Amino acid sequence: MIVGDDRGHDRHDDRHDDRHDDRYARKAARLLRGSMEWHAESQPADIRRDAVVAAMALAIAAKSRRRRIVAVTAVAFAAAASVLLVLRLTGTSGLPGAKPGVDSALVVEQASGGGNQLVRATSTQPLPDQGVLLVGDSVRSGTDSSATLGFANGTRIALSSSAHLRVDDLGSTRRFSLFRGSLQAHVVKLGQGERFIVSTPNSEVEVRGTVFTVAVDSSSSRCRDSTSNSSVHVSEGAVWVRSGDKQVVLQSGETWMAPCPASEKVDEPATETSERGPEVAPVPAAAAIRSRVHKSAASSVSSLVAPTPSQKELPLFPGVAPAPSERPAQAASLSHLAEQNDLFSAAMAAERQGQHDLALRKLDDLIGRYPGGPLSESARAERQRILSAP
Amino acid sequence: MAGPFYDRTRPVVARTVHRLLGASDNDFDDLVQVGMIELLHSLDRYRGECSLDTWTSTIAANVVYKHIRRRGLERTIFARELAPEDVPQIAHQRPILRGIVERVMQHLGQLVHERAWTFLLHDVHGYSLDEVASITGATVAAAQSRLVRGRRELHERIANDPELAGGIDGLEDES
Repeated sequence: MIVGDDRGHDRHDDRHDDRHDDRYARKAARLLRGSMEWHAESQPADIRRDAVVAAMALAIAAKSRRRRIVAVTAVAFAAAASVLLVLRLTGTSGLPGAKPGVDSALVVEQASGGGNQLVRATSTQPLPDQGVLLVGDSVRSGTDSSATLGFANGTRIALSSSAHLRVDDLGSTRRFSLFRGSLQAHVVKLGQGERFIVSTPNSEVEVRGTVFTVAVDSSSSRCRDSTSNSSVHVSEGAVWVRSGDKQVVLQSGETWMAPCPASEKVDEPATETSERGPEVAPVPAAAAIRSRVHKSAASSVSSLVAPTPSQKELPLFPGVAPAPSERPAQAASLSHLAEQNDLFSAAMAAERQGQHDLALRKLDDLIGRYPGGPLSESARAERQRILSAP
Repeated sequence: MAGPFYDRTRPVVARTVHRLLGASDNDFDDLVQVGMIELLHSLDRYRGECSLDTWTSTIAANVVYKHIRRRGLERTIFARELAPEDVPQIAHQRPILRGIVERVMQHLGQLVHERAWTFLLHDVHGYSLDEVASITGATVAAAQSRLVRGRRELHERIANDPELAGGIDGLEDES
C-alpha cells in the first residue's frame, strides 16, 4: 500500500506520547502490520478479468453516453428558457401563428337552458358544457337560455338569451363579434400586448380590465331603418368604444349607444338634445369626460345618449349591477383614431424596448399620415424627445 | 481504457479487501468486484488530490466496512483464526508470533466496533484520520476520539493479560 506523509501509523510511531499509556496498543499495531504484509505473488489471479474489463468498458461507454445526453438536455433546456425569457421581455405571447396555450383556451363554463347552439364550420350542435371553443366558432343562445364562457385567467363572458356571438381571435388579441343579443364581460387586467375587443355591427369595444355590457338590439325603434342598435354599459373600469370613425371613452357607470344617422334619428328624448345639444355640453360631467377623451387621444364629442330600459335587464354577474345613475357619455369624433392609436402605441412600445429607430419610423408614419390628427402633436413631442435623448 | 484501468486498480482493491477481510473469506471475490464497481461509479469524484492508489484503497475500504456492518459479522474478522495465506511470515517462520497475533485480534474483537475499526484502519493499515473518517462515515473529530479511546482500551486489555503482555514485550526485546 502506498503510504503518504500523513499516514496514520507513521505519525503515530514517530510520536512518543506518554500522556496516555497506550504502549501495548502501539506494539500490537506494529505486530499486526508486520503480520499482514501483502505479497504481490500471493494475489489470486482473477480468472474473470476479460469479462470484467468488457463490463467496465460498457459501463464507461454508458456513462459517457449519459453524460452527453445530460449535456444536450441541459443545453436544450437553457435554449428553451432563453427563448421564453426573450418572448416575455419583448412582450409577445408566442411565435406568429402559434396556437394559443392553455391560458388562451375559451371554455363553456355554464350553459343553462336547452336552446344553446354551437356553430362550428358548417355544422350546428348543442353547446357542450365544458367544451372548448375555437376561433371561428359561433355560439347562439336560445330564447330562454344563457351561457357563460371563461378563460383560465378569470375573464368571463356571460351571454344573455337570444344572443349570437362569434369567436374571431384567441391570441394575444381576443376578439369577438356580437351580432345579436347582449353579453356582459368581466375582463381581468390584461398584460402588455394583450387586447380584448368586442365588435358589433356598428361599433367596436376595446377594454383593458373592466366589467362591461354590450348589447345589440335589433328590435329597438330608436333609429328608424336601423337593423341593429348597439349599446355599451360600463360597470367597472373604462372601455374604448369605436363606431365608424368616432371613438369614445366610457368610464364606470356610463352608457353609450350607437348614434343614429341624423336623417334616421327618432324617438330621441327632446330634453337631451335640447338641453345638451349634439356637441360638447357645458356640464361638469361632460367636461370631465372630454378631459379623459383628450388624454386618450380622442378629439371631440359627438353625441350624448341616455340609458335605455334594455340595459337594465342585462346584468348577468351577481354583484355587478349597473350604477343607479347612468351618466351619459360623450363620443369623440376622430378620423381613423384606432389606426393612430395603434401606430402611437407601437412606437411607444418600440421605444420602451430600446428600438429607437423603429419608434422614430412609427412616429414619422403617424405624423405623415395624420398630420392634423389628435396624436400628431404628441407624436412630434415624442419624436423630439427620442432624437434629443443621449 | 477499461483494461489498463482494471490492471492498475484491481491489485489495490484486492489488497485492501484482503487486508481488511482476509483472502479466505467467502465474500472476497464478490467484494473485490463490488469495489471495482464502486470505483467506476466514483470515478467522476476523483480530483487528483491524493494518489490514485490511496483513493482506490479508501474506496475499497469503505466497501469492506459497509459490507462488514451489513452482514453483522464484524466480530468474526477479529476473532477468526488467521489463515496461513493471510500471515505468510508468521506461518512459516514464527509459529509463536502467530499465536500472539491471534490473541491480539481476539482482544480487538472485544472493543467497541467503531473503536476497533478506527484503530485497525489508522494504526495498522495506515489510513489517515481524514480517510478513516470517510471510510467509517464519521467526522474527523469523532475518528480521532475513537482512535484515542481504542488505543487506551486495547492497551488496558493487553496489560491485563500478563501472558500476552509478556509475549509482546519479549518480541520487542528480541527485535
